[in-house]
Amino acid sequence: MDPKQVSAQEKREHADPHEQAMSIPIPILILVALMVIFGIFYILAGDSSTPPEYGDQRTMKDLMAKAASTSDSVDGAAIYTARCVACHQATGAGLPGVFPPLAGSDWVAGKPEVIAKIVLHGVQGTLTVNGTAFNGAMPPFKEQMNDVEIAAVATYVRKSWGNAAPPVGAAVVAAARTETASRTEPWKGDAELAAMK
Amino acid sequence: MATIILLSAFIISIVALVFFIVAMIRGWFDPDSKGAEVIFAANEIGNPEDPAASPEARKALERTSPEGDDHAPDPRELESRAAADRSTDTITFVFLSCAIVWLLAASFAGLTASIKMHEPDWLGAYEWLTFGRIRTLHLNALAYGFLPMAGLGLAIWMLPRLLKTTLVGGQFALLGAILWNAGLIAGLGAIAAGFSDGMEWLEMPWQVDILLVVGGAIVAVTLVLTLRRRNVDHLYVSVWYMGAALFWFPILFLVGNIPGVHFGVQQAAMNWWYGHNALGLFFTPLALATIYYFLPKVMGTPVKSYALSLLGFWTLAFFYGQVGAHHLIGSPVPGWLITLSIVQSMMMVIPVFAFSVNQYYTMQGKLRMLLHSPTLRFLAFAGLMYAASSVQGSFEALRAINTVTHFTHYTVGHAHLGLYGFVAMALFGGMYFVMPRVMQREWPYPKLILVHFWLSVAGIGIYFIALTFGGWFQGMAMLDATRPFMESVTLTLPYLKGRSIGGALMTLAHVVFAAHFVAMVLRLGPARDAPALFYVPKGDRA
Repeated sequence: MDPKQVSAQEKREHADPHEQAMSIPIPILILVALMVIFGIFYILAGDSSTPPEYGDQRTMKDLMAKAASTSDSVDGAAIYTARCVACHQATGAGLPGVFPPLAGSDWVAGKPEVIAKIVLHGVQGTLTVNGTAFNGAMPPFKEQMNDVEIAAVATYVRKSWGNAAPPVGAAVVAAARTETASRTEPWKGDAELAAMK
Repeated sequence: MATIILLSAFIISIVALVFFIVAMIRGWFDPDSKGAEVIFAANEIGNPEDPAASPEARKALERTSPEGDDHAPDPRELESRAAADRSTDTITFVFLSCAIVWLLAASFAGLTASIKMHEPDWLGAYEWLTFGRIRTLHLNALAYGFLPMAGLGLAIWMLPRLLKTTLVGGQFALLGAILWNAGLIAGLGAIAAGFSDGMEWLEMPWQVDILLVVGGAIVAVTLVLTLRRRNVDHLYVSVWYMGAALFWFPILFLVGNIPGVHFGVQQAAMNWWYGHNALGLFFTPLALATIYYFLPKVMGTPVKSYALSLLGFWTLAFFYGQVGAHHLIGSPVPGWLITLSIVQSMMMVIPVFAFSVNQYYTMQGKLRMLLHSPTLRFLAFAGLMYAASSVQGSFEALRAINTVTHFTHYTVGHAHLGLYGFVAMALFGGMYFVMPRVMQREWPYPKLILVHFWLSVAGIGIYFIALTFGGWFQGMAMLDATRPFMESVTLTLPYLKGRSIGGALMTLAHVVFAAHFVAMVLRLGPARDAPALFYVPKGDRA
């Protein structure tokens, strides 16, 4: 085709667009100013010096979306759901032959420092619960939870699914933590725990 | 200490940016400050017209405009326009045809992946059709197939027109397209066979990426050669966006894909620096260039404010490069990086408003034209979705909202609003304008354009609404420690089915579009001599 020939489609168009010289509208300038002020405020409000390994400063408590400033407001049920339910189940009945029950367990209802020590360090090896031997492993939680949280979850376990043992105080957990501070491995099942019962 | 350094860096850079933009607006750097002024041929302003209007149909359009003068274009301008078009039609045709093929492939892959979200066993017997691969195929066929092919095809077509010259080095663009498509086919094959780099947007193996880098760079050679032969003093805003996109993309893609450089947390930071910049510094500028050219072109109205164009372009260029880390909120990366990315994400409302206000002034008083022009309707919808998805994205970056939406379907809905509602729709609009000029033939079935438009709008609408609500509820469920995790999964099922319905409508729209495209190329159907208009008022029918 002849390069000079103009097709019908090209003939009927407008000229290629140009720009006119209207200045920037005032509301846009105000928007720019407001955004810069916001940026300054946000940088000042955000704590940029926190070590990155904290992962942007959010903790378990933030994610649970509940203000948990005092020990009373730590929710044992929430902690149970987050950390225990996978093995011991929502009913507290465990899995027969695999994970021991908490409902009606003599270990749970016993001395408060025993349940505290088990949660702190976990268990490895054969453990007899209500006459049935379980050969499993429970991880330690001393790094993951503080005394208040362990007390809250232990209290929750001791009053749920028909259990009716008195609450566990944070002080009991703190004492158990201090007493067993040198321990680095889980309790060796009945071999170590039976004596404490 | 980190806060003070960050704050002073922020303020200093903002001051420098403001100074720079003011200098550009005032023309302090120009040897001839008339560069900022309008260059207009006589008789060409203010004529409302569909780009494709016949005399009868134009009457209808002129009545929608306050200033309907007689239309008498400068013959020299027409000649240079025809010369520009003849120099690009083969190459644009190749790019746009590839785009259509990849559009279909990506649509079916996406629909398959979507159905698998609620029917996980469907087609599970074929390895390459499993979710992990087909979803990745969808993303790559779209991100490296349809979008760049359509975007670059339109850019190559617009460029000689805007520079009042002919395309120089068209054979380079053709070679680049061949290499690019060869690379993409190899890359998609590798993904289907189970080879992946394991980073989102960067899945294709690096050996294959070399083909795309070289192909992209060769296409850019055409751009540089053509720019050097320009016959205009003033570069129109679309040229800035196209030039910048072609300059930015090879750098981003190269850095993102060099093997053995980034590890661990740094790799994640680089991954999202790349991922978000591919959106913001490649797809967005190409789509904005398309809207900035075709919207005023169809309307017959000049873009109102050169200053706003400048503000929009330079703030996009400055802020966008730093927003990627908002994908890493809550991750073990330095706090200042996250804070900066959130601030710059919010600052993105500036270019968005600058663009939207500029387009608003252009369209002011002529909104009735949307009834008539296919191109215009796609472009106006795209412009609206640009504003919507960008503002949504800015707020999504704030920690308070990100806490809920991160790792949910909400983000997926947002991504599709941006890439489909904005970028793809803008490119469709451009293709509807360009193809009649490339083929020198009208669209044979104007009704099909209407079908395409409404299927696409309904599809993305259902898709976005379903995932936005489903994703939000999913996020709330995940934050509630008293609810088991599985609840956050099962509650999304009805919304995921809604997503598949939306996806099916969009896929159908693309099948219609592709069929129409093929009919036009093969010269099937009625040979119409009138432009493809949606609606011609009764009294004006020929």
